[in-house]
Amino acid sequence: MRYRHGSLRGAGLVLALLLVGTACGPSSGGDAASSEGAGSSTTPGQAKKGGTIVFATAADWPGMDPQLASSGVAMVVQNHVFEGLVTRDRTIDTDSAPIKPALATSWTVSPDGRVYTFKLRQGVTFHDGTPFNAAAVEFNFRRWRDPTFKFYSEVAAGNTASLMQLVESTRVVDDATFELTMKTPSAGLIDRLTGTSFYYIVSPAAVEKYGNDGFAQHGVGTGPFKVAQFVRGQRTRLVRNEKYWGKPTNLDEVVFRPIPDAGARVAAVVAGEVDIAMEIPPDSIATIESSGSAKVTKLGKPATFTIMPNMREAPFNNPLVREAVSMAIDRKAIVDNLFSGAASEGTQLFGKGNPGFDPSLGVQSKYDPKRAKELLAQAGYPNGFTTKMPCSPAGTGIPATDQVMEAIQSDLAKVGIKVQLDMTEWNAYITRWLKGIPQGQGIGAWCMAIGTDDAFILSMYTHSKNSPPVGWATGWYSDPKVDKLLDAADAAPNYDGYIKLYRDAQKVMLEDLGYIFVLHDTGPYAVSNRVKGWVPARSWLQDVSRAWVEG
Amino acid sequence: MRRYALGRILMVVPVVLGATLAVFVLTQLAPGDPTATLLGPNASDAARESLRRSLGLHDPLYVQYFHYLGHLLRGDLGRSIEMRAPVLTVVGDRFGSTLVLGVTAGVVAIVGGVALGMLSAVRQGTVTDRATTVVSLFLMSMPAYWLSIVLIYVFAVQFRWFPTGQMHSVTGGPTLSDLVWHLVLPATAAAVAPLTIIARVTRSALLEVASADFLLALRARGVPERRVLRHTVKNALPSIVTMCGLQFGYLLLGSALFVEIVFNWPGIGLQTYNAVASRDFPMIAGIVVVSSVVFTLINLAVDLLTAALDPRVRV
Repeated sequence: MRYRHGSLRGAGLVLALLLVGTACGPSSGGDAASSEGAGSSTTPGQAKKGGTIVFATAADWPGMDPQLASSGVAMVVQNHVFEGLVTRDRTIDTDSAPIKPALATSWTVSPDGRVYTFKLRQGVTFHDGTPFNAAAVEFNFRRWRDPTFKFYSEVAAGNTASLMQLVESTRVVDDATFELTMKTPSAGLIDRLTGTSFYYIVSPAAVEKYGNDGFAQHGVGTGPFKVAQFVRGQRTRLVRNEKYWGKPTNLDEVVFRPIPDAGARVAAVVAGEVDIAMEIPPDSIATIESSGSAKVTKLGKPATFTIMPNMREAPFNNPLVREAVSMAIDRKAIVDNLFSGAASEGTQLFGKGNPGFDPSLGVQSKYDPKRAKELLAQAGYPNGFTTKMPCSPAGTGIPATDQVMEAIQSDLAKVGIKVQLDMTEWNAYITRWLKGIPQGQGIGAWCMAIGTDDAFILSMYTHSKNSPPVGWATGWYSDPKVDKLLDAADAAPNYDGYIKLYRDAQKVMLEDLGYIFVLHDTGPYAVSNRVKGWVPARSWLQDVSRAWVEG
Repeated sequence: MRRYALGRILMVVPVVLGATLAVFVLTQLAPGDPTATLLGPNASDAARESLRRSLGLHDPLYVQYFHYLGHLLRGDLGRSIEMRAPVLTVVGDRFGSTLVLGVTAGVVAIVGGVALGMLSAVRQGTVTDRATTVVSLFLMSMPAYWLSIVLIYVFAVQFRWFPTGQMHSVTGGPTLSDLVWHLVLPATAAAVAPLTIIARVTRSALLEVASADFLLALRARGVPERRVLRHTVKNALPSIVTMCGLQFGYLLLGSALFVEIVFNWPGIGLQTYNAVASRDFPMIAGIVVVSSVVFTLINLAVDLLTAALDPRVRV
């Protein structure tokens, strides 16, 4: 599961088709910009000061409280206003953003891996002028984990629960030092803290002033931009924070505009009204590129569309059947035909940009329907079988989920597996999904898009302690070998060791095909030619603070 | 007249009450758990439980309903689960934007529709009449969201005369000219269908009256044609007014919904879409209640107006 992106696709598709029509027409002169590598926008040049970037998002966000963020879109916006103790450098063009100190300048871990001591950056002030210090960090931790605290937030606590339940205590050592004691060795702490906006530090004074709910209307952090205006559903105007502790941004302003309708978003790019737009529908890429004013990047994003087999019941509890299904899916055809190349064939659970992503892995199973049939016969299903696969047409965040599922349905039919697709609305689906595949109902598999910026996501899907109702292993995946590796990862001496063990665990998991990875989203962004010094991070979060504009 | 008006006003109460009940029941019947959307799947059962308690989702349904009704009477529509703000504030705010769009489109539809209908009626059977009929039928069958897309494509993307969406420019203050510039395309998209319907009704109402015996009698008495026309219009007015009112209500709360989503107009339609997507029960309920009150009041106004115009209705 990933953060939700709402979208209204029907109307968008029509507009996209119309736009494609013009792309071939005489009005589409000018050189079609190439999207390959998108290197041109990172060519070093003289950064210019001033200017505004208008950034179109695929959905609305309810407010400017990063700890309550309900979607990936909200995080994209909030990442410019808030910072955590530690972060990943999402301003540079890399497939694996490095860990970077933010509000903490350094940290040490006790030999038993339980006590983290953070040295905090000095002289930092929140946008409201109040100082950032260890007491402010403590305030934020209480907001996440202390139900007796006046500013405890149920939603923030829910978002951070999987980490906070591992916290034993927190301590303000002095103004510049904060100590965090975990119940068990937690080598993954830094991974977790840098993966989402849930752990970003908000201004205690502002929370006290506006209240837990009111804070979201103002959004006071320490980041390179501060909120100048938040108009829900219309725009959020961020202006340069002149007192930023780091290098101040070149931009005067960034304006975020939600344009939920995909077609309208594409139209706004082509009309030059927005400089950056996210979630570009694959069928609009050609249109945007032929407009000559913007190009589309397809760099990758940690989001993997996955079939989650029912590991408790026949026929999917048989590894031969799972392998047959994996071999029967023509991943390349799906990627080429439905995504116009704006996706790549599924290789693993982690998507590009996730620290656990292993670039050495190839496609999970080679397309081989003949061999798939043999495997089915070997498993005792020479004539195939009938099964149900519930899914949701929109909400997973992968474009055209319903079409992907239909392609899979027809691929599987070719080897004798008759799939009944059971498409339900997202909220209803996710409620069902969280409970795990029920027994005795003939449900063979779920669909889901897996992905976040932290490697911990693997544990949420594979560790047996994360079976429903606690975690997301809702196909009842469980393997003691994987459990052992993941537990060892927590006790690893450092972050790199932790990531390595997560990759090892993934290798084990790939062998038994407990998950069938169909494709990785490449997260297409439209970027205007006037935007320089920026390419999208392979991430759910974005950071345009190092960009500048020309023309 | 007074008795009729009073009776008609009293009828509003059960209608609105029925709407609140229907809304309540429907949101309860919908599958899905709001705490799943709000807290995400990471949350512990305890956190879910505590949120359910604090949102009052545990009370028996009728208790929840009466609580809701009680607050409603005090002007309290509850707090939006997702936006963490009073529903009434949000709805009131959004309703302003919808009114701007709806009233503009309504005026265009009514003025244009009546004018077109009269023209058609006066020139009955001519090329003008037939052309109007054909074009009206074509435009009437065009869904508002589709028309919105075509308008964006032609006037925003190709000619770049108007913006592709939103109510104000991203930068700069909200000036009137900026608003009008943003208003042209969505108002056109929302106005077209009701305009054609009003035109059709106006035409047939006028033609129906035109063949009435009393006009023959007037003409026989040598009444000038100008005055005959006035009598015609006056007699056709009740059905035209009824249709205009009905169309205005639909326009404000129906077609505007799709137009708002495509144009990203920050009105009640876009808010409805967001609220449904995030399963924000109080917001959905608030919007439907406010909308049904507004719709009922528009109908009430139309009925009273018709009664004032046509004494036969009052009986």
